[in-house]
Amino acid sequence: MITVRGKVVLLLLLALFITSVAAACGPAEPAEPAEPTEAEYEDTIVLALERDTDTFDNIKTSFGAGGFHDLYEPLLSQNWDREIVGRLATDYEISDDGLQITLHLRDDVTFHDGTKMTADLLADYYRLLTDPDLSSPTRMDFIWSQNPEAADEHTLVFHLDEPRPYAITQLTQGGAFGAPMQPEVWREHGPWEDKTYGTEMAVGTGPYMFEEWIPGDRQVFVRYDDYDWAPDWFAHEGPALTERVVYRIIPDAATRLAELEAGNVHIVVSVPTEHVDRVRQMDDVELLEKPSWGWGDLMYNTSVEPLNDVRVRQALALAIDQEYLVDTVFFGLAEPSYGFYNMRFGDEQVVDEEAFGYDPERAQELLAEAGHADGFTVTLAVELIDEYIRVCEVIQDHLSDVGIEVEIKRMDKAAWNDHVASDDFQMCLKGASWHSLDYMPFFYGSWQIPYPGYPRWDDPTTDDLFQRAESARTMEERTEIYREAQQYLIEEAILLPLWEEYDYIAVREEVEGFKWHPWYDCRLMHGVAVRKTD
Amino acid sequence: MHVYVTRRLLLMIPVALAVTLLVFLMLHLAPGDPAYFLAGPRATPELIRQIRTQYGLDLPLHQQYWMFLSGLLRGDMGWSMTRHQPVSGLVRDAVPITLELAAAGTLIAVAMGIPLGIAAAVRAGSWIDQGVMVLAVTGISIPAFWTGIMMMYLFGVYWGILPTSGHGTLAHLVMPAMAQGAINAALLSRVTRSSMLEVISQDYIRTARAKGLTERVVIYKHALKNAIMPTITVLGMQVGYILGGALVLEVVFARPGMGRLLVMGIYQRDYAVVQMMLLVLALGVMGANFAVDLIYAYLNPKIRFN
Repeated sequence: MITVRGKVVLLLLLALFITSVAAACGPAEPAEPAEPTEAEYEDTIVLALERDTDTFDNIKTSFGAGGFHDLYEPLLSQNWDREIVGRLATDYEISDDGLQITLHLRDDVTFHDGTKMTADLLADYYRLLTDPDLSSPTRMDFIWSQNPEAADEHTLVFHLDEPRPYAITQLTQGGAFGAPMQPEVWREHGPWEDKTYGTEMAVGTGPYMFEEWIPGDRQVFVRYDDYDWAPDWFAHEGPALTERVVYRIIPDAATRLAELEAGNVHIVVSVPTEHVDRVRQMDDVELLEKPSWGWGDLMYNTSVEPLNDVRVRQALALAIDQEYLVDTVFFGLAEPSYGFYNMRFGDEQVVDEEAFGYDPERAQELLAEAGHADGFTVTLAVELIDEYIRVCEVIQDHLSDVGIEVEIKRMDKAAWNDHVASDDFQMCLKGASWHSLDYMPFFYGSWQIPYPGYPRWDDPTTDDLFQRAESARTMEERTEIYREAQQYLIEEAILLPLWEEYDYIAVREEVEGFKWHPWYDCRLMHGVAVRKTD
Repeated sequence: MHVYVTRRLLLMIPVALAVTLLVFLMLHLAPGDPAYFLAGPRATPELIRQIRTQYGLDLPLHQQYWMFLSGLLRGDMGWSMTRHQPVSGLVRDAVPITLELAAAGTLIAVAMGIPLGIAAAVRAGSWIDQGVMVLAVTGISIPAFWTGIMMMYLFGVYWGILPTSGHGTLAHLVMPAMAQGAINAALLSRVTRSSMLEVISQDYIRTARAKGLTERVVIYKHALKNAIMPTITVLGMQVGYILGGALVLEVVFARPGMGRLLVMGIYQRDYAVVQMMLLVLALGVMGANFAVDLIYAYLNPKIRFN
């Protein structure tokens, strides 16, 4: 007969057993970094990310995050001055009619599986990327590349239906956006049931090879020792400096920074504004402040009363003080925005401080002219992001001063998407991150209604401008037409720009060679090394 | 006993089926369309339509439910739309990570809570009793995630004696398990104390002492035997809470368990992932309650299930 104490001890032992079994059944232990050598530098660099990727298959990925840019290389690239230069291709030509793009490929490139890179393989890759049956989220961006031709082993030609000046810039994007992977490996390994491409393997030509991915935990890349085709603007030739790059997925910002402070993480690529002061106080960490591609807009459903009246939209624009908003919500760590897109677009952006300035008296006059002297009630949909909700509260406060009552509707991203696509949508707060001028046609082209064209801007003049811009013969012409479109849409007050963001990147002092790039941000690890500290 | 066990196991089947239906309906009737996520930031109306067809999202609800259920019966947990891989692999990787945290947290709670509760009851009114109760109230009042963050800074950043976050070794488990265990230990100590206080004032305990038995035998052999039952009941009821707490701590300590999978699954409306995760959690809670019933019978011969 076992005593009660004996039974309790037995139960405790059983619980201990379950714990041990559960621990043993877990996924394989992440690879331990190799033993430090006598060299001066660590063999592993560790970065912390808030969010993991969905797959390393760059045909299927919806939001590539992590080591994509070191895994897959673009055909062309942008140097430190943002000039377009070669990468997998040495140079390119555009035919006089703009309907043919010819790329001369390097002859010394091999994929990570040892296969020689040829024009045939690249043509195959672009056919897959634009295959309608594969539903690639990147397909529409690269739709112009659907007729590739391998003119010879090292010459790739794209035949276009109409001129597409931005195509050349798109070929510099890299990472998850149209940077070639080995198509034969892709055909053999996935990403279908029981296949492993994108989850257990990925084959590109970049300076780092896929080693391991534990979803939600870490991505591990190992140096490609045969890599010898770095573009001139890289810091050095040959293989990458550090043997291994690890991206750790740490969703909680406080934990990311604790790991940085403890020295377990070398770089945190996205520091939320509320933590910036804390990082500034860390002795052995440098904080980089760089303009980001992100910004925020107040968007309207331009097809419903009273937001279909341009005077009402102009009044809304003048009733909200962006400077106050930036100071209170972003602690001054952002810029007020007075134009579509953001500061990183440079001369491509039209800024109008008068149309988007703060003038509540004029706003009230415009409302009176539109027959809304007593104001009206409107809903404002916002995602469950603290900063966004605080922005909405400022908007609510400022609009109440001119008699407009705002009902804030908080919802998660999925419900937000549904809401803006529905007929109930009136206003929404939209956080954007975009690299190109086609942001405007993407949301304001009538062919995109109701989603993603949820502002329901159905205007032939605008459509014509967008179509002319996208099929312009040169980039200069395209930019000029886009500037004209911006001017026109500012007069129509189709949205209210609110803020433009900065990226805050925290880097430990022992990290060397880490530079922010004006096009690729902080994604290139080829020339980065970590000095040993005791 | 065998009949009871079989009956209870069979009863779990309709409950599990009800859970699948409830979860399915809740997910599909909530606003949100996974096609928007799958189409990415540069979605087009055409691509969204294509994705809906590809994943059967445009089929009637009953047909989608039947596909899910029939797949489950064949052992096919479905396909994660957002992670482009079978759900079975995601479950296989994530469940043990959550389970080890929940089990370790429970172990710590039992190992700390019950002895402290006994000590407090045996020395009722003493400084030990008061000290234990202050600790218990503090433990119950502080959320596990806050305890976790404080421990992270103390042991991980300032002293550097434990890994700050992540998983893989026993050392990675210490802080989240302590944070998880502390709050449950506090509750168990309070329940054990009040239960023990009631039992040790009974006549048979007085008789045992009068017989000249040592205090140790009186407390551990005679009193604890009866006093432990309410503690086990509470522990059984806490299983859902313990699993929920583990999910929160996984985010704080960057552990790739069920919590993060579930949160991202709900955020992106990855139906197959959320359905399986919730089913696994429901089965876990049902299994734990079943185990508690069996432990009753094991610890107390008076309880029979015929």
